[in-house]
Amino acid sequence: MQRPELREHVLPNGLRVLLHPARSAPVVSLQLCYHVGSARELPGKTGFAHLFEHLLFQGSEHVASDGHFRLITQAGGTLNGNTSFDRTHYFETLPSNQLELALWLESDRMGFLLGGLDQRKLDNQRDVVRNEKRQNYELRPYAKAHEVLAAALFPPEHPYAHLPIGTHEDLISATLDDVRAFFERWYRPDNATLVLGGDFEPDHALERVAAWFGELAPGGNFTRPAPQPHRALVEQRRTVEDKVQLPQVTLAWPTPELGHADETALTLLSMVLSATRASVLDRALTIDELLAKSISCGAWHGELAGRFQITATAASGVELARLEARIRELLANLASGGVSAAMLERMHNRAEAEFIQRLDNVSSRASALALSDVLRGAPLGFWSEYESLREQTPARLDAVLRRYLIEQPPTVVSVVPAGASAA
Amino acid sequence: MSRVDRSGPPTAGPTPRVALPRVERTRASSGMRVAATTSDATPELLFELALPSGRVREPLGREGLASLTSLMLQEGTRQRSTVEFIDALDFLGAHLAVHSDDDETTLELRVLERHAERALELVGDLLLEPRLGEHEFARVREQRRASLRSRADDPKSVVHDVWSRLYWGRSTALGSAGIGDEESLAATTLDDVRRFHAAAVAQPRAWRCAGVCRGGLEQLLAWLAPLEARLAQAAPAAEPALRETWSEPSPLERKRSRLYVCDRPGAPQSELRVGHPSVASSHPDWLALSALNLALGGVFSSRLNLNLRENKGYTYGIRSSFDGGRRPGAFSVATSVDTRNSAPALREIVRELEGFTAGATPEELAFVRSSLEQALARQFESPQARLAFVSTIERLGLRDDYPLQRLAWLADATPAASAHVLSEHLRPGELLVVVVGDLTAVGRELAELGLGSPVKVDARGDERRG
Repeated sequence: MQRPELREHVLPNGLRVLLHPARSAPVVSLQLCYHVGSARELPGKTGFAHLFEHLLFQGSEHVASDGHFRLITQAGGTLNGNTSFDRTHYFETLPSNQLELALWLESDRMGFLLGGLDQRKLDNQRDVVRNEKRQNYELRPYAKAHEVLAAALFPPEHPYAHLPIGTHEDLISATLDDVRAFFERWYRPDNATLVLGGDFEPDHALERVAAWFGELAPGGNFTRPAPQPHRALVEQRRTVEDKVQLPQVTLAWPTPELGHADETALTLLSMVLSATRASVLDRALTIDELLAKSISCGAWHGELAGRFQITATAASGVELARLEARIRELLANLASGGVSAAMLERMHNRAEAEFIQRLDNVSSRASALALSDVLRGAPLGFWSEYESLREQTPARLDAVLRRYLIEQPPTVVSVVPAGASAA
Repeated sequence: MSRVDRSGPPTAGPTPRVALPRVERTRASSGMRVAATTSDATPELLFELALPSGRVREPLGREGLASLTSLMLQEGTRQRSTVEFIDALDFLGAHLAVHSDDDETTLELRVLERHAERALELVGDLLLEPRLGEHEFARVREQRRASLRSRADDPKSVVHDVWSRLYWGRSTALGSAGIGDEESLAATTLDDVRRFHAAAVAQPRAWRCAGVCRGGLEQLLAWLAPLEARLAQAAPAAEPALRETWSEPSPLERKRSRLYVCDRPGAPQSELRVGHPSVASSHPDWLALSALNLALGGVFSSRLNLNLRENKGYTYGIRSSFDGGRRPGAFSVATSVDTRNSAPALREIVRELEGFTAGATPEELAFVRSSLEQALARQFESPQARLAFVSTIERLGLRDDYPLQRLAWLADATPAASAHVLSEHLRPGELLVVVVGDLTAVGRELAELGLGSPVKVDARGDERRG
């Protein structure tokens, strides 16, 4: 597989413009990633970056309030946005003749948002976001644990100690002045990366991007935040009640930030533990012993810090304490016995196949370039990670297992059936 | 000085023309139907093989048998244990999944072309020599018990199960949760699983394959040759074909809606599902309905979403669909709304349905036409999208140019023509309404909606006594 073709430019106002020409389909995908997420929210303003993302779909000075969705859908395109700890990402993919429409819409909300803003839009999207929180974090079984885990895993002052969705209380208190201030501070060309992928002529596309975005004023005071890795010193334990039948336990450890030398080894370790039913934890807990109904494992890396996490739902009649003890024992056994070369080879092969799949269309490639540029400071950083897969040896995986999961105490969050937490 | 005109949407150049993927098809010597198209995006094979063993062929009293069989098919082969089989797939970097729906049990494979031959050999093993062992069955049944126990934890599962029961009734397996219940699980034996699978395997003429790779059908048939050879050697069919158990959807009483409530004390939101039986995909109006639905609740900028989300803020999102399918699928609206707005949300939904029977506006028709026509440029880029195109055509018996057929209808469609179709197929006075939410908080208001007095049901959709 070949590296995506890429041209990098910076407009005089600081907007980074990446062009990824690809003729595989007559489409153009525009990705605009702003370097602000929930990690940059101020105390008492949680959920604000995400609420703000919603307001960016409510029109701007020259675009009607329903314009984004209506015009892009009508032009045969798809669009959306999302907010994480570190960044807010907007994107649309359209037939290639609609490049100007995408540029008009994105440049208008970068430069002229406030002209279209009013209290009614804020109140409406606040209600929508509070319903999003109810649907995804309150009604969904076990999802209440996410908030508790974030707060327990990182110290209170750490930017990752609260989730992007925020609290109802803070969402209720958000004002139009907050929105204006947030916009003025963060939504600037020199705090964003724009990627165009697809079927276009690069010189012409660059000229058009410059025409639409070149006149927007820079903020001028942006620096990359320094990593804030955290190391746990004592075990933290929390219990959450939920309307569930089977209890669930999550063990989590803070890990280093995106781009750290241990990133790829941690990702592969999570696969060795739980990528398929034959992985170490799945095999032991759902095939050999039947202690768990389900198990999952993930290595996540943000620009400030990372998180390694194992979540297991108990099988019927299995005590959570027993399940947790067995997971810790399996980790200890793996650390002493070591990851086998055959197992790692299988995960290498699997990771490579998944990487090729993930990049099988223009918008996925453009998205990967945008996120990598903003979070790693290098658009092809994700590609380097792929190329480093084969450099990871069993000894490297053993080392990160010991360093982060064995020699560091876990944060343990239990979700128990309502009324059972006293037990 | 600005070099651009920001005052309104820029004018676009001509829409790029794309050809629909060309579907090639044949019947292999075993009798199975094979359809394929090409994709140059990646050096991969995407393949699916569907057996005629969906839920609709589960015997009554054995509900959940199709999905249980799907699980058991992933528990090793004659030569390999469960773990050895998965390890073999992982070594190839291959993804293989087995799942069942109303009509079929489907094996899905995605693998790099250079490993396609070996991955298909594993597919053949799974299909023709599955282990289906006692030890594995005991474990899978135990895991299924845990799934049944926690099924009602998720209100989205509950609203689905309640709706299915009320929509299909009790005389077909389609009226039960896809994973069955405690009684059907207790009654199901390993022998049931073996027979269910053997009956489907015994009739390759009823199998359906779809594939996407760079070499298209010719390459796919070359890869399938070893499987064909194994099928030719297999013993002739001994198992009788499986019977379908379905009948028409439960008829609602004409000219009257029915409201069912499953109580979830303290729930912050109510799950709502509102609709009625509608047409199969083979119905001459289905393509038109699926197009018109875009304006009602098929996309973000639809009447339902603009009203209930963007105007009222009742929900994070709301969608409607004409499901179609091989048999009469539902028209339905689905959403989650905050508890205190449950009754107002239902009132708005019914109002929107009533309004839409009068037909789409000229602006809405232009919107739908433009959206569907221009979207063709981006819809067939990824191999996954191309497989879905082939598979949909094969599964539903659509024409290879069905997207163009739909556009042809839209090209001539007027508000009056849309009203004609919608007034026949949208029946806001005959709705099946399911609410999963806090009855104490919303019960009184629901009773005042004019949808009939709320009937209490349990999480399976059965009426509660007393």
